[in-house]
Amino acid sequence: MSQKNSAELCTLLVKEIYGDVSSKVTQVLLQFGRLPLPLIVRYSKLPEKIVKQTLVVLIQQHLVCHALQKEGQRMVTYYECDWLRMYYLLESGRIIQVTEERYGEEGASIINNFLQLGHARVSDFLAAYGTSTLRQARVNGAVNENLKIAAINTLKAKLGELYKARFLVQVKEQHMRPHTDLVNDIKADLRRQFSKETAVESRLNKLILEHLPQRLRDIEVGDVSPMSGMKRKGGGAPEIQIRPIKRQKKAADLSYIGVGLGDDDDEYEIDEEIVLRVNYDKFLVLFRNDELVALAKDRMGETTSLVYREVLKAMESKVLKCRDPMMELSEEQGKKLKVSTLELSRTFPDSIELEGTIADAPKAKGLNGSSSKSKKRKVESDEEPDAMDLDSDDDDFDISEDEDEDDMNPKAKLKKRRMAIMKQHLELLAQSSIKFVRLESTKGAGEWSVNYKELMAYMRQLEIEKIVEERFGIKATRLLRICDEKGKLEEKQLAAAALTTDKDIRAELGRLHAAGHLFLQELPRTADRAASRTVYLWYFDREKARQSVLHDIYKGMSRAIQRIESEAALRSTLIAKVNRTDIAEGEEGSVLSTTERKEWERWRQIQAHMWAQVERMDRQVLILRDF
Amino acid sequence: MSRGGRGGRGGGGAGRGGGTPWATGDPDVRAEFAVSELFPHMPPPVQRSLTKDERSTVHRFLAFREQVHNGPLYTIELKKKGVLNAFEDVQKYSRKYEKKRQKVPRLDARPYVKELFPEELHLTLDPHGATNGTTRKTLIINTLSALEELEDGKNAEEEEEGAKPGAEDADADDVEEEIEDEFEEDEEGDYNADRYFMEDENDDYGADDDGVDGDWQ
Repeated sequence: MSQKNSAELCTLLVKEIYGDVSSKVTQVLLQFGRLPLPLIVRYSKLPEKIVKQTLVVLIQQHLVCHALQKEGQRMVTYYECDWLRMYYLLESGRIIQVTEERYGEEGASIINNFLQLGHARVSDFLAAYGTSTLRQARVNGAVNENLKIAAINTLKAKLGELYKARFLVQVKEQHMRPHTDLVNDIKADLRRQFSKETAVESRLNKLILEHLPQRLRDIEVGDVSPMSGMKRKGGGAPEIQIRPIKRQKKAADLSYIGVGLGDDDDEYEIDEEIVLRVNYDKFLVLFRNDELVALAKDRMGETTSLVYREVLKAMESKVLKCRDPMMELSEEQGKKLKVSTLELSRTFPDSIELEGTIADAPKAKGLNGSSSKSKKRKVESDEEPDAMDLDSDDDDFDISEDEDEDDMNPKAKLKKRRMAIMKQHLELLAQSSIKFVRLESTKGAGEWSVNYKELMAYMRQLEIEKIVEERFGIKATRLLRICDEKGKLEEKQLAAAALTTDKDIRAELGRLHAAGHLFLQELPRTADRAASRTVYLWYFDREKARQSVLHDIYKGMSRAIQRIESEAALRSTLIAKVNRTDIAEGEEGSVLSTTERKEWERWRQIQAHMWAQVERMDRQVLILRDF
Repeated sequence: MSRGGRGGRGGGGAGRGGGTPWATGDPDVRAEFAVSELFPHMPPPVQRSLTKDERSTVHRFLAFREQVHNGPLYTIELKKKGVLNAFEDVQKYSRKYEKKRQKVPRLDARPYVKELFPEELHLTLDPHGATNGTTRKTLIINTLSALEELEDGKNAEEEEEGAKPGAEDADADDVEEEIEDEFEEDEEGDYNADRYFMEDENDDYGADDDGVDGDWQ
């Protein structure tokens, strides 16, 4: 039953994006599980040719995995749905947006194209992009061979950047295999490897299980060494040529974001032979950081949350995915991901105003004067380029160093002041009841780590409590929290803990039970299991409650999408009219009557609001399931 | 619910206070005599208004979806053969410009990484496998202009909250009147086919906004 809701949602999402036929095939695969081609044809009642073509589409988009399996004398290919990937179709909008914030329009355009294409070989991508940018150049009136080269170079640099940031990752053949097959393959491989070492079956199994997670992760995460997938440049455009091209580019009004063409990294460029796809794991890490920052903002205030955002950003590159078992393992071994205040202050953007965000203790009278002075200096320094700031920042600079204030460079002084405030914010974060950060050591003016696992467990609980409060009110939430804290309780004990009578809470408990938030344990005192001689214990199981809430949300999302569909069906004539091929985009207004235009506007509003609601539910799902 | 025992109603007059014999000592409990509503009014929760971030996310998503719909992979289902809707499926002039959705994905448009597909689908990927190598296929790339479009859309969305209704009315008034004149008699819709059979004069038949009535009279 529990899978029904998620399957329905996935089918609807595929239908929304890839159309009826694809959704029909996915529906069959979701309903029956792993199937070979002839059975898909039979169950979907579609012609074989179309099923084949649809499978190509779905495999191209990584929505379906396939595995070749030996069955008797012949090899059979099985197909299986990757339902999470279908779910992540919903994330497309957010992914494009996040990329735009970080890598500008150019980066967003690349990610958008990769989302459209599924996976693509870099050389193919470059070739296609090259022709299209050339077309663009022709439109602008200047057909220029240099322009094309420059565009390719910037594009390549941008691709390299995205690849390094792991927004894009390599696709290997293993990634197209279903998870179970992958696990079986690895197990078989490990067995072969270890069978020489030991002949005892139990020991062999133990060894296999020990090595399995690491091997699995290696495949899932891919090669993380910095130079994988990169290759030395074969002799690109010389330095002198690049400058004028850049200027031409501006003249042609191709708003490129400046890419460091003269950097040291420029020695290497992305290998054109590799196949890339969008890395959802990485984006989930970014989304998780956003949620954490939002929580910090709620609890601690705006500026503290901005400091927190920088902490998370500093760690971002090393967090490969949410719920990474290997990271947890290395944390247990004491190798935690840490960032020091000093490191943080180097990359901390000057645009965040720290001055005056934390009230000083009243006795510090002398500090007030200096703070206003440094504020004035800050205004001055803002006009100068940031690079200067970085230069003045020496490696041996330490907050504990007691230098004479007058001897110090004003910028260094400001930096020191900012760092002190930053540290105060970090301490606030560490002292909060939710441990946003932890102080690990005093090196570099304090080293901080983030315990994602604990934070996320807290956040999941918070999300469930929010939902319960919305549905059943504050009293029910209180009961839930008591159950969560105390474990299994009888009704009377529960009432005593809640400082009410059991009559008062009975109805609430029943409702919570019906909704799948609270559970009952029967404990018969006699062998006949008579109800009168049975103890009933209420308890809250986080995992079970999480699952039930999750499936409720899936259902809610499905209904919202169906609502959008039916609203669209009501206006099918209007939508067909606006989509007519002889009407250019954006010119709908000229052919629609007043009523139609109003209706069109209304439809757009409805659509936006409904999808926004789906995205909101998606936020909850990500917290409860993926983070 | 129990009525408080047999004969409770009969002895009602004797009770004190609320006059109900089954009233307990609890002063908070009041008997309700009104007919309870079968479906009491339950106001549905109202959505919080969208933040700017949410708006742009949704917009990106919808634009992404639109691009996929216009791309080679979006397909609609084939109609079953032999089932014909007399009003909808007949060729009509007014349907000339209707957007045609493909029934089969256009797979031959782009190069594939064959290793990633199962062998039995290789022929589907490239039906003319023998001739491959002579013509180089390219991926379909949505160019930068696609994103500019997005930008426009986003701006429009933001403006929406502002002075949209007024401005729109002002600049479109003249056009509207014209259009309305044209459409006035068509209010029931172009697709009401029955009307054309019933009415004697059918000068309006096929009168589109692009002024093609001449062709049809």
